[in-house]
Amino acid sequence: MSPDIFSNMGNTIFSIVMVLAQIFLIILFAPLLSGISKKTKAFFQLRKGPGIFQTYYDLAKLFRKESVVSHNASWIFYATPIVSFVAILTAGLLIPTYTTHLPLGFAGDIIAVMYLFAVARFFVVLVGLDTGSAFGGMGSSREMFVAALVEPAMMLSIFAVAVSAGSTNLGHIAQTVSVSGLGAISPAYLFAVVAFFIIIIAETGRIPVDNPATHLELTMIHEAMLLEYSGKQLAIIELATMMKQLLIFSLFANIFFPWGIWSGTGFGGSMITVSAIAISITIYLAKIAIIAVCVAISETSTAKWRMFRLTDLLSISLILSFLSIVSFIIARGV
Amino acid sequence: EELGGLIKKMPWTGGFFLVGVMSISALPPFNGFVSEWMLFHTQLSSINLSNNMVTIAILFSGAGLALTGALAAMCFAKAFGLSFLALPRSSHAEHAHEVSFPMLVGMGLMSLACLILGIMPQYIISILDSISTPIIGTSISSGLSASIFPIALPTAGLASSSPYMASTVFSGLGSISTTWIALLMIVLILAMLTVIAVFVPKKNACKYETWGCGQPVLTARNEYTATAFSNPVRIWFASIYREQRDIQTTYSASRFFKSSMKFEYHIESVFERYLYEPVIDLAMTVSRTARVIQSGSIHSYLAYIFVTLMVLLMYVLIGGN
Repeated sequence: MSPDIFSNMGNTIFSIVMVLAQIFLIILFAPLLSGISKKTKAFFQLRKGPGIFQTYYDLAKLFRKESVVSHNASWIFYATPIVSFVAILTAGLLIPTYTTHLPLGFAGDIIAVMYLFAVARFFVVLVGLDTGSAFGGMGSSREMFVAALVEPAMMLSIFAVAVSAGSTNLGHIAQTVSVSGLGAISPAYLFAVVAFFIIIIAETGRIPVDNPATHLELTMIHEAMLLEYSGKQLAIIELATMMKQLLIFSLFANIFFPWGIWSGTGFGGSMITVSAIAISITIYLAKIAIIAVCVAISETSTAKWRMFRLTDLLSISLILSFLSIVSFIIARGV
Repeated sequence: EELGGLIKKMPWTGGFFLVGVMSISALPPFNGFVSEWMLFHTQLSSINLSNNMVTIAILFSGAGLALTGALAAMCFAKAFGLSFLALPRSSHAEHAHEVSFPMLVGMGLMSLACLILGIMPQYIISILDSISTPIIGTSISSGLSASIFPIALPTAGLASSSPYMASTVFSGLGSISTTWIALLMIVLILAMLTVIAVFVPKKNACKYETWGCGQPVLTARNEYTATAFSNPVRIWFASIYREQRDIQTTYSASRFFKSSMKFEYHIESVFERYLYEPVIDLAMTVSRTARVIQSGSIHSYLAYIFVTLMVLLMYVLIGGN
């Protein structure tokens, strides 16, 4: 990524436009992805299911409703939807979606992304404890437990990816894999793909880690913390969760399958062509839709696991990432 | 487990405590995150070492560091959440009031320091670097931009070509600019509040009870407790903690009418029992034995001095240095 791109005003405006486009892309397509996921699950359960645009209508409805707030709530209850949404959106600006050339890519790498997601999660955990209900406390406790399981596995996956690509900067990783074409597929890569797939199931809170469609106290983790929310706060925090899902799928797509992404320096030669951008956006949306369908299929193939079995699942991910690192070190020689 | 609801009675203390909690859980934009980021990058840089076993071991320890961070976050979410949020669990907590101004100033200065070190870390990093450079021989100052502020000021070194990147820390493998992250978050929060104020119809929030499956939830007895919050971790590490629980019940008429219950719970403090206590015992035994020479009598002290001088004199006469 050349720093000269900032050297004049035109490029600054171009960068601002790119950042705004990424923000709109993330916010706009997050509910659609959720709809696709639900539709796939319905298909496999031999139901018709809600339409893929239903989530937009649900969010619009929630914005129109008044919110009912508990007597015990403090300012954290009101601040969390906004903080959570903004933390996830900031992380989104550091993740390559339709382009590997991120104007703000220097400001953070994949570790920053992970910890920004942790900020969002931290505040939601506090809200679970805020209203004084046993459901919230239970959800918070379980969520932090699952986070403690996921973080080491995720960090080792990140390490596996970063040592292969030589950098933790996400635009650079996507660029490296994209440029090496099919030569990027190596044993280290394959181990890392499977490890990361397990991580995305855990991080987005899908079956077998957590059931996003339940409100039974024995099975809900994420929903338990949000139980007291209603109205526009619920809409914002649900949108934040959907955005996190979109961003994690984008991470998976653009780290492991980035071919076709617009690299900002030309996909076919010239710097900025509408066709290159359009192709890149279409390919990107297709990729995350396919990933959503795959995750939904894996969700329907199993039930939610008992929480203490998740240590086994995430240990598998940890060991696979470890194998990825070891095979990379073996492959590069002494 | 006797606190709760303090954030309404002690709002400033609560706010400063939250800053401290977020810093120690390594959450951006505070200083804990910058330290963790640098540690992770140190571990990642081990890929350049020649000994592959050491590289693998150091990279695996990155997972250990992430686990530490996550467990610390859980611990402090519990500490803050259960002390400050929800309802008070005892009359002490109910009658709490905000502390005096000097105490607030103390906490406030620390919180401010956490924030400043988090969003403008280069200054302190270069100071720490100047301390470590004479010891290890290399310096990381080429990865730091010379400017502190995110705009303007001509810089030198790796980050020089662009004033926009002027607050970035570059490791060999990636870069971070917590100033920009904090700026972005503030801008996005303001933008979001504006959008909500303009586009979303204004409705007042209606206050009602917390949901308790239809039962009134008016007391603090329904809340989660600290013991319950850490339960999953205790079960996960049960082989280390080796918990023992004891429940004793007394009955009145039949076994369906319980007059009282006593619950006792005990976990093994492994490090205390098997590491700290033996070391402390050893130190105490050695010092108790050595105490024998301190008899309190001035005659024996004079004798010690005399004997030492004789020994030294003989040593010099023999020809030692």
